[in-house]
Amino acid sequence: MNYAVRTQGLTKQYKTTLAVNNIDLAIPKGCCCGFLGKNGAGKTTTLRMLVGLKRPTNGKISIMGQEQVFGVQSSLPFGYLPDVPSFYGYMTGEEFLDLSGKLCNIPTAERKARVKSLLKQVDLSKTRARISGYSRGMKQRLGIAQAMINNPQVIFMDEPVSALDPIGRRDVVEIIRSFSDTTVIFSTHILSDVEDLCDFVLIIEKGKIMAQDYMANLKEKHATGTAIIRFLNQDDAVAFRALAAGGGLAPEDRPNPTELLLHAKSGDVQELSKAVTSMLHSGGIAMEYFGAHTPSLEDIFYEAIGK
Amino acid sequence: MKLSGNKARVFMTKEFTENLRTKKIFALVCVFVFIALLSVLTARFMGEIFGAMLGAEGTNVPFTIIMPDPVWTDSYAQLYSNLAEMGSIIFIVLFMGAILREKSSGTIDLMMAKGLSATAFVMAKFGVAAILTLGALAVAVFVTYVYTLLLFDYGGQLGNIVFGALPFAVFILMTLALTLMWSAIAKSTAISAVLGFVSFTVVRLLDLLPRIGRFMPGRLLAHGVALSSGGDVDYLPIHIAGAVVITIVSLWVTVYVLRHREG
Repeated sequence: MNYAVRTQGLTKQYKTTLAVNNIDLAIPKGCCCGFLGKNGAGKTTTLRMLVGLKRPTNGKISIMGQEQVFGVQSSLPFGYLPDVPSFYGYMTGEEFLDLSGKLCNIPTAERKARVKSLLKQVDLSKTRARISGYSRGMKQRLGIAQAMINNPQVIFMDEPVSALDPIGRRDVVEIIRSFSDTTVIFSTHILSDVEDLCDFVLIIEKGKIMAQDYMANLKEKHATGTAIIRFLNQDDAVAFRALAAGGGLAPEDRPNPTELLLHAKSGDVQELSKAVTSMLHSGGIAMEYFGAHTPSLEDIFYEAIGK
Repeated sequence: MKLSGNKARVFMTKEFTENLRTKKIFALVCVFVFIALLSVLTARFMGEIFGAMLGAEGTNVPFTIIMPDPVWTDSYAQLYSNLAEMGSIIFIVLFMGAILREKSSGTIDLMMAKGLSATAFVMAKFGVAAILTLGALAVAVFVTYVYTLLLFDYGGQLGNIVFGALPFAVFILMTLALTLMWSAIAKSTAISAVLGFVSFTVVRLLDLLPRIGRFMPGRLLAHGVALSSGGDVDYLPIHIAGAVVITIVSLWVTVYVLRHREG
């Protein structure tokens, strides 16, 4: 399998704190990877080691198959957006992108075209103001543009939406969604953003990777053998509850009073389905919906970090 | 290596733009020119100034001060004395936050994530600060020369005047390197300023040490007048070598600190 990012034994030890503990990452090319963890779990430290801003205590890093050695600058196949991007306030957005392009050794004609296209993509092409006059959201969009200036194959973003208002957040999410052919790795503690945008998930807790897989695989792994049944009215739900309790299913209430949560004794939802069908038939009760209960990312996250 | 040099050039251009737009260039040149004009005026009219002060109404001084007639070399003596006091304070203040600001705001991260090395970053900062300060010094020396020519009818031999500025230029480079080093090490502007001024003072005080003081680079500040008038000075190569060593060590420490920072 081709990986965009691989690490082996990546570790960061501060004097008394083990911030990142011997992690092996394997992030496939082309995915949108949500890097989840609580505050202080080690997300930012990991990202900063990956982009060469922090010296690893131990371990190897490879990005797009190219080994990254701390302090050795090569042609960088990635872009990076820090959690709070800062710019030179006396410059315009266009000037800052031009500076970024020059540092990436992009030839003049190509650079100018790229700057123009990126400003348009992040909706800053009509702004002539200096960056000191930008809003938080505008700065974040400029931050994304500068991370994309070298047309990177991998882009790392540290909490790109956490500090934004709803409109700024929506704008940035749409920009991230628009990336194609680029591996996006963004850290966050907002689970809904990952569920919305990502197909690959990393969960870190106390510097250790607790889960690392495609979202679909994680959901399958964490499926709990439960199902939800919904009735046409509350009376049917009450009647079925009594039947199910007699059949040893111990249904649980859901926030919606016409729904019940059922647990398969063997963990097999197909077995559960057969038992339910039989009970509905014997009780003469009609149902509206029956389906296996897929765990949410929140369920997976809490299970992974052991809460 | 070629790519690294290119990045350093790009970053130097950015530094020039920054110093231009934030008006640092104008502040530096204005202060140095003001010091130059003030120095020549003070040298030429020191006797009259003292006379006016002592002869002012209500003063009753029971002694006589005999002032020697002013000579053209007094202009340069005043210039280098004033630049060492006021000029140095100004350029320490202007550059004490040069690296600290980039560290605390995080702009250095964006630059380094684009492959700008710590060495290129520091050399660009130092190079531009040196060019600006030495440029301001050149303007100040030229203004002093012209104004001395006007007020004393003789400004000295231009070759000697340029050579006379060399020790001060070397001292400026050393002070800039120390200022940048503290800017990289310090966690706040106030600490950077204190460390900058303390190191500046220590360098100047070291030449008061018995026996070894005469070899210290702080003596560079005392050579301007003698060299401007075509005279000789003792231990100049040793003083320059000392300053160059301090400059190189300071820049190396600055690069080291940036490479090992845990931001």
